[in-house]
Amino acid sequence: MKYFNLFSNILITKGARRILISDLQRNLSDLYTLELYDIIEELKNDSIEDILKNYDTESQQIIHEYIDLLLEKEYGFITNGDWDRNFPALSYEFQEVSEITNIFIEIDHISVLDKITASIDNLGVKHLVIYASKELSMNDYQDIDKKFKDSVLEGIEIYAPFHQAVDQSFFQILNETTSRIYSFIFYNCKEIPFKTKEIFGFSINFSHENIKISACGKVDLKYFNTNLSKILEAVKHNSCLHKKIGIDINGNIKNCPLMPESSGNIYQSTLEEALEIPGFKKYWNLTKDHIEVCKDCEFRYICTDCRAYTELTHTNNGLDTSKPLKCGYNPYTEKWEKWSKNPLKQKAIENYNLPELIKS
Amino acid sequence: MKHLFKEEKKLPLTFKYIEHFRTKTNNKTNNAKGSYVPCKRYHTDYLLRENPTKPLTRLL
Amino acid sequence: MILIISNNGETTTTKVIKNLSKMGKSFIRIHEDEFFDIKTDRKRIYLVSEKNKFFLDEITSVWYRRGGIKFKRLRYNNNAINTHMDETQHWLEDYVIKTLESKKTINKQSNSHVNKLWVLEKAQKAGLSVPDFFLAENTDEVIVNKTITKALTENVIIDSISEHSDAIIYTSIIEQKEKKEFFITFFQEKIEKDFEIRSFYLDGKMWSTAIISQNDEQTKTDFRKYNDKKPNRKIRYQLPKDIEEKTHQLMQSLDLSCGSIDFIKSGDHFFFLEVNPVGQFFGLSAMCNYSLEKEIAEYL
Repeated sequence: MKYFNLFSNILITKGARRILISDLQRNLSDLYTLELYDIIEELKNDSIEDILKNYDTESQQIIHEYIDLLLEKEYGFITNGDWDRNFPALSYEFQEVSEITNIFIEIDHISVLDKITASIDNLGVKHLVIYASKELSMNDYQDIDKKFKDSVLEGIEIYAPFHQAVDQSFFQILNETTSRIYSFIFYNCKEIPFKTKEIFGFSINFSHENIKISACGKVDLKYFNTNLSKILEAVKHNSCLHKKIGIDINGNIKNCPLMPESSGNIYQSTLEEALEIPGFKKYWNLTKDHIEVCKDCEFRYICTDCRAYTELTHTNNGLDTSKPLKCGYNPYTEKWEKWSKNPLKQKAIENYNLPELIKS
Repeated sequence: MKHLFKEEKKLPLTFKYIEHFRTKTNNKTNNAKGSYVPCKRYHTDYLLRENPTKPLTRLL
Repeated sequence: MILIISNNGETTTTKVIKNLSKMGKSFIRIHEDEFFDIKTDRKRIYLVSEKNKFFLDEITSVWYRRGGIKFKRLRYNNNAINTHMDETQHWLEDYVIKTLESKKTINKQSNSHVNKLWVLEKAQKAGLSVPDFFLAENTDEVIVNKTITKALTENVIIDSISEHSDAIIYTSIIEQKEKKEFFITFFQEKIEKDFEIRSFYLDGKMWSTAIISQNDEQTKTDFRKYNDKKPNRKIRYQLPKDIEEKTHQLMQSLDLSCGSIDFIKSGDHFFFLEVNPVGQFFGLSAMCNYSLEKEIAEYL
């Protein structure tokens, strides 16, 4: 008798109408039918021969094809006599040493970063995302990098308005004189200044839009990704808010700079103190499995949640458990739509007073 | 093959099954920037610069 | 105070240090380009380099990861004096190393490299199955296509073997008999494997990973045909208790508190291949979500 063994690093996420199979080793996710889900479940409980007995010839052929597919994709292997019970399940504990993994801060002057350098080292922060509301000169970028020159930070991403000094030599110099900045994003850029084949130690993006920090929270295919670390975090914790600190333009320390509740201010207290305030971490363990609509969505573990902008339809124990506002996917129809045009979201949109939507 | 190495003395049979590959170009000069940064707290000049495993912000 | 001896670019060392930092454990990290003087202060011995200074008696545990503690050796003009002082310094350094190795350690500088042949014998003594092996200068005892050969050295990469290339000595199957004799070569029975297993051992505990390559599967359905060569599947595995116990005995007999161990599974049998005291395991550790860096930090 033959038995099918699913590899422990294959994750199957069941959505309302289809399933997502994520290969946590090869960092790939693919969509399949609910039918395959049922077959995989049967294969967990019976031998292949016993399963085939229950189906007619035509269906048996389909099952063979599905098993072929599973083997071809290397989602599992076949043993004789019994399943191989020496393959334990993968532990889904998210083992992250850093107390805080990332900080998202909105600034209008770079000196404010001095307030958080010590905390960054204490908390083991790995990434810093800066949203600058004013233009940053070359010196500003270099100074930012310098502030963290011996720190534990592994990378800095900076959003800033585009200006005329931003050209090829601007980046050539920054490439030589900075070491932690891995991403430059310029908004309000009327015309992309240059195209280059030169390889820098960072990525550069230009956007025509005048992106405000409130533009955050988008749910889109381009932001979906599959890797073990991301998925482990998403399965047991909130995929955006877990181990994150946000600091708004006024220095208020929050879980996310776009959420209303604040736990102190960097001009009066430290990030460590803010973390101790009850309620700071209240969203950290709210997973997609407890969020409306998302809990039936096959993408829920490869997506990144947003609690700052939601449809404001459901709460549970004081937590907002509504679907993210800026998600246009409907798992019940498998269709993507433009979220901003959705009549059912208009009330919530008005509530947030989002400037980017005023023109439409 | 063993005879490719101009050695008078005998080599073990493992040299018959050796696999050659072109020397990798010096990785350190390939990137315009190193992938390591210094870090005082961890007592190293070689903290690996790893990119985030998820999109930390989604403004675009 | 924990002493860490490592090479500079070792990311696994940094990962362990991140854990130590979070646990509030103090540590000293020794780099590959550090040279130490041995000094004394009020009857206590201390080591000092450009980067670090520590007393021997304040060290509570040592993790030998890679590299080694290097000492500054003074040279003298007079040959006889130099010989004498060389030996004097040697014994002082030896005393320092021995003192450090007598503390709680994960690996030691003195036994971080093992003799592969000796280890195979010890493994057999510990009761582990080892594929039959022998040394020979000709292929008389070799069964073609059923015997493999591999290097006796730890390092199988030969850099710059010629002007533009490096070489690697992989484990290879002997495909034909040789007419001529050669330098003593290691031969071993080729085992038809289901898959390989790499285990990380630390102080009696083991975390194993099965490495399954498509070509290994013997129990796949008959009409399987693969077009692409897919990378190996690496997943959590649990070795049988008796294998783990025998491995524990082996590691104790080798005086190793830590190492990575390779096995082959063939049907119901597990064959021991080799042990590497300072091998790389941490990539597999991440893939299986074993937090080995945390285990090491907790042990130190």
